[in-house]
Amino acid sequence: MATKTPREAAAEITAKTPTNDKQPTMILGIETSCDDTAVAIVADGRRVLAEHIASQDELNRLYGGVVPELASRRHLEMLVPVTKKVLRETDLTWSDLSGVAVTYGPGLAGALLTGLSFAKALTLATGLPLIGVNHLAGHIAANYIDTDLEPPFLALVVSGGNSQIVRVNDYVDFEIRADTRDDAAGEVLDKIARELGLGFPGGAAIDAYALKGVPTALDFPRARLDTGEFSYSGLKTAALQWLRRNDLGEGELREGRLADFCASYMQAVVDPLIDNLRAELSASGYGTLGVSGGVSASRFLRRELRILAEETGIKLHIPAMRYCTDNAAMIAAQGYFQLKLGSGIYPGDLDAVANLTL
Amino acid sequence: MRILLINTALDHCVTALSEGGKIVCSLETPGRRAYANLLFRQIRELFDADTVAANEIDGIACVNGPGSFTGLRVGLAAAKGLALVHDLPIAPVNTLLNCCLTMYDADVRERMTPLPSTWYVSLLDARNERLYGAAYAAPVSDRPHWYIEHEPWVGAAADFFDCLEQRLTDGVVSLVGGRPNCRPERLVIGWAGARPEYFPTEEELTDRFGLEIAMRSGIYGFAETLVEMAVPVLSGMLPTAEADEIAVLSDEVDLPSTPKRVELTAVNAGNLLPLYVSLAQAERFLATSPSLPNS
Repeated sequence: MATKTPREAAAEITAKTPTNDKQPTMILGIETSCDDTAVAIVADGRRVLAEHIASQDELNRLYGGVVPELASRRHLEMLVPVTKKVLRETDLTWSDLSGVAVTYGPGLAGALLTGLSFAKALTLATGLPLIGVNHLAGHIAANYIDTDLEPPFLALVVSGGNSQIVRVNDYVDFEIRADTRDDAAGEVLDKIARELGLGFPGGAAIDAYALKGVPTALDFPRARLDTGEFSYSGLKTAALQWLRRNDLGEGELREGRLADFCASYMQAVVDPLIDNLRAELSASGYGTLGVSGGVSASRFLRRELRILAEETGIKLHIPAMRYCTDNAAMIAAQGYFQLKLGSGIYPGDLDAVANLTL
Repeated sequence: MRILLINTALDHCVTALSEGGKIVCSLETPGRRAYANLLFRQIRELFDADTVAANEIDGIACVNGPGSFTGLRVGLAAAKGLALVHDLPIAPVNTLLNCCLTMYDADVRERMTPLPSTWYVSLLDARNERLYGAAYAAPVSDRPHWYIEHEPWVGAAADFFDCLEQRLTDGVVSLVGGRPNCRPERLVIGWAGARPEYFPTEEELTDRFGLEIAMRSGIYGFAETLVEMAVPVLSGMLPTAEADEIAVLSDEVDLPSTPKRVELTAVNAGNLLPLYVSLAQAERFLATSPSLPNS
């Protein structure tokens, strides 16, 4: 099948046909909660017409992490060109759109505020409704893209900032069943990767080593909390201590020890997630598990999730990789469902909330 | 020409509409920097009050710093969003120049007699005993010709005044414009908000410079002076910047110590022009300019 350009796809979707005179609802999504400046246009919450992400990876590598003030400035510079590009690619005009969806939290305060202010100005100038989207609801909505998946289902969101198990009862009705009480899964991976000199972000490098190692080689602690909370700070400390006390050696020896270390470490990160998921799947009775967030790229985690799915007979759903990491399509998708249900539409004031929860 | 004016750099949220270079409607809210919603409320009210739609304006003038990071971010993001939808040009205006013009305007209104040759010095608290400062000279009868006597600058307060003193005693020709040596008879020094403790007092400066010194507090930059600076840019007399090139001006960003500290310094875009620099520009500039401070 020949690949369609975004313009052709948009033209096809927006064209009225005798059998389908219902115009699709198109939402512009804006996401600036961390370091990526992302803008997308999504039709009916499921079909991505165009998307573009300006990343700050080079800056992050330079400084070994995200520098909030630089991230905010870069957003301010990139929002106009990225939005222009998305509009140009689809050949759509403002009057073709039905709303502007924007992330208003959680995230970096300055970064959120930049995208939110830009979105407010767009709605002020166009008269379109402003739809405030929770970044975490956006991650969950990534599951709707290119699928027919509908709530209720169970969602696992694992990223640099979040580790949550959520009951998605409806498109706008969420119930957090388990959450991290300290560090998020992705955050501890990045910290250990930095300690090992594997660069930033280093989750992928740890994951690659982990697949080659023996997960039972080292015994790292798992915090067993019966309140539906994860805790990774004990694990992080134990791993850092182990690295300080033990020499990884050189060459092949080092590679082998590093693989075992990473595998044991990943196992300790993943185990509490799997345990909590198993308990929650049986408690909720939901038959589908949607997984999103940057850490869902981990092949180690995916392997464990597949085993869980086989054991429990549930349907495992993982969106395409580009919708697992931060993106604007998921924000537009969630925005569409909120608009349809009249939830989170802001005619006037909307503040950026850095520590917003579901 | 109808212009929307936005100034969110300091403690006042200033919005106005101008037509033919005159303010026709303005809304200003003094107080702390809660701009996130306030700015948009004010812009809506302005449009309603003047029964103007966003697509009926011809351009936007927006203060782009230095000043409150948060305020500037909201103001510029708003300007860019409005400009994108209606394909409008944006004129970025330097906070310090705007404040100098505001002081000049007040001066002209207050004094019945002709003004003596005066330099206007605008100061802003940059925290940690540092300040943003700039000095501009206004020849008495020749309003449009402003000269930069001290380029917009950020650093230790003491260094700024040393530098200013040097310029006064050397009497060197102005940096830009080839203006003949002209030592002023008077300095007007102003700042926004309350006077930071480390700013020198009027007496100290009078003793030091041997000039008539006037101190002004609560200088936020009028909408009137914004128009004055924006009109030449928006009407095409002076070059404007692409929307994506406009960024927060010249603030120093605290970066992790590795590998180097990037000092974002204002790029002087011409004697009369508002100043702007984007992060990308600053980085390119730093990469090719070894003379800039790197510690």
